Amino acid sequence: MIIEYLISALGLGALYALLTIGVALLFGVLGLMNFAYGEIILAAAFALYFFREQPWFFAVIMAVVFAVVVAVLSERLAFHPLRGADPVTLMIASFAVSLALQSVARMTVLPRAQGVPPESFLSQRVDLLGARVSVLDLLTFVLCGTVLAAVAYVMGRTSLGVQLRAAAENFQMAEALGVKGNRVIASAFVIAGVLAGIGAVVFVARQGAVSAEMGLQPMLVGVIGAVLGGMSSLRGAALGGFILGVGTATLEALLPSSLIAFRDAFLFTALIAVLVVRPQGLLSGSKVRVS
Amino acid sequence: MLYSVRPKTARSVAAVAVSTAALTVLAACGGNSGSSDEADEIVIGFATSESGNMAPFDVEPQQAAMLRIDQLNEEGGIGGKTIRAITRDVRSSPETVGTAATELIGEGIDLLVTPCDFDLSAPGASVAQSAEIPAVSICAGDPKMADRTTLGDFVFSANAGSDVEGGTGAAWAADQGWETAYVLQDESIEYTKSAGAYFQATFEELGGEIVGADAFPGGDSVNIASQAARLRGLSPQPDFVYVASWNPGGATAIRQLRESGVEVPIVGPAALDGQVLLDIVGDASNIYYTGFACYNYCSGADSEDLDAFVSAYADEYGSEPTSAYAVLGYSMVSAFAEALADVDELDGPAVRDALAEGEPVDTPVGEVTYFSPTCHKIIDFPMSVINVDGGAMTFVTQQRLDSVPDLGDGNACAG
Repeated sequence: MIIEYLISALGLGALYALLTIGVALLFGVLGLMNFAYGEIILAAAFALYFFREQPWFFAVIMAVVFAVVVAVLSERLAFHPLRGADPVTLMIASFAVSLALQSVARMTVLPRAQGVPPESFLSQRVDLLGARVSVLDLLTFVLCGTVLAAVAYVMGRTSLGVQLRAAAENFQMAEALGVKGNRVIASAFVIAGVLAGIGAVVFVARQGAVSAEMGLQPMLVGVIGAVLGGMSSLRGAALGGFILGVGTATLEALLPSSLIAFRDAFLFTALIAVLVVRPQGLLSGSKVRVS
Repeated sequence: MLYSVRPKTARSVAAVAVSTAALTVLAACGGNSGSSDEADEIVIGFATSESGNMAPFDVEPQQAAMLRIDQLNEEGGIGGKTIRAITRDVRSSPETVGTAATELIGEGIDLLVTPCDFDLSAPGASVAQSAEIPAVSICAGDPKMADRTTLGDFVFSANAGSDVEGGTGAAWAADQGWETAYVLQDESIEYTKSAGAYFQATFEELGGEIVGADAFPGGDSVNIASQAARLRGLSPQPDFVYVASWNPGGATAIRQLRESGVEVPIVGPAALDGQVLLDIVGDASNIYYTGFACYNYCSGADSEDLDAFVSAYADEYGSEPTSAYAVLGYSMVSAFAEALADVDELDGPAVRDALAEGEPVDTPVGEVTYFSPTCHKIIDFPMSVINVDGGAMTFVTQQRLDSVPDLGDGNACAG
């Protein structure tokens, strides 16, 4: 029971951390609070539905491809022309992109929720330290953990990572020092797309359903987790998402059934309490972009 | 569907107020606020969603209703009167429903049909109530839709309701000799809450025992790992689990129960119906739900009437219905025909009284008594118990409920 809870809580924490990093990355580099992030997840989820008859690994690759394509296209068509605009303008534009993509999905391929049948190997259970743990929970934990480690490596150890961090710190100065702005921003969207794609794979494997509104919840998780951890720091954002995931799983495990309906109320009350004490987020440094 | 997830907001209240005011103005201006001028026709106004997020629930029942109207007109109409349908797309927005109802009543309709959802129907039904024109929701499942004191005595729902669905599931389970039940309650909407509450009350009334209950918040993101672990820890295991939920979250919950190793039978209400349940649960087995009908994606009902309905629908619209809600729209028009056959003067109170008379109506799923003077919805709906097993749906039996237990929640149809 304890092991099962731990695997499930850590898995949800890792998934939420993945989602928050996607949101925080774009906010850091562009000052863009991307409310269309949910629709990038929707695009990946749609790929999983569309290729549900194909081998799972192929569907997973296509999900990541769909997410990256939608992320990059949204940058090219909607956010690129607004480069340098007021952050509020960018935010409104992201709302427009979100609504447009959602409406297109509803009018064309997803007028109602569709199901994606479970993969038989994911539904199995294995013995781990005396507990029966589902392969899906293990996969969630391992996959999200690996991707988080990969992001940490890219951000910390590669030239691209240095450029991304420099651009997040001070975009004009980074450009003046030779960082190619367009390339950095495009790669930020590609990374956000990959994260959204992987997040969608895990999300769809757990839910089994794909619907036009499905991006809303993961997007909110991303935004709230990022705010909790501190918008200006990726590590903080990941921590915020992780705490949100573990908190959700813990409340599900501990709350009596009459109070479970109010799970999110408990969670967000705790969040408000944290923000009252640390309005800049848990791991935010001295310099906070409030834009 | 059932009720929208959206909470009742000041917006929808305002919509009611505005549309009622608009109606008053309209009436004062000498607009036609009553029944049709043409004595030889019956005018039915449809204020339903042809677009927006509720469209999937309204479009098919409405198309099925239109199909029935065409059929009746070919047979000579209702009591010699031709049926004329006027439609307004309310775009899944509560504000639009009130306006659409006002416009339709201005055009002289005799009956108003409102969306498949209580929250969305309410603004339209309030307008109809003040104009004394009967309003019938095409398939809202909330018992409040049928309660004459909530919206008024001119308001009906052409559906059985979540209380009947929960009760029918309990009655069927008791017939299987199952004695102990575990309730997994989806807390997201009124529909799931009343389905769970009425399941529990009926099952206990029939001598069963609820050995445990748990809840989950429902919605798009379902994770019931802890709930499943608690259920799995029960010894002995209950005879079955009642999952009071709706799609797609309910199907997801069932999938997660099975994945976590819960093997006892699972029973649920009608909102689990549809192809999406099969897709989400995959090869899982031993799952039952009480649906409105078993056709195309479900086999074994062997009903000529249902087959005839499905093929007539497919001939008219080019594809078969994708959920059993469609048959509710079709049967609703049959109920109108039955009730209004002998009504000469189509004024609102006369139409209301005729509807409430409670004549049995022949529908593709069998004989159904629609309304009664105290209860403006269906109680004896022959719910189809449907088994989901290995990726296929098969008809098990039809189950009716004689009465709804009284939970003391003001349900006018109880007792």
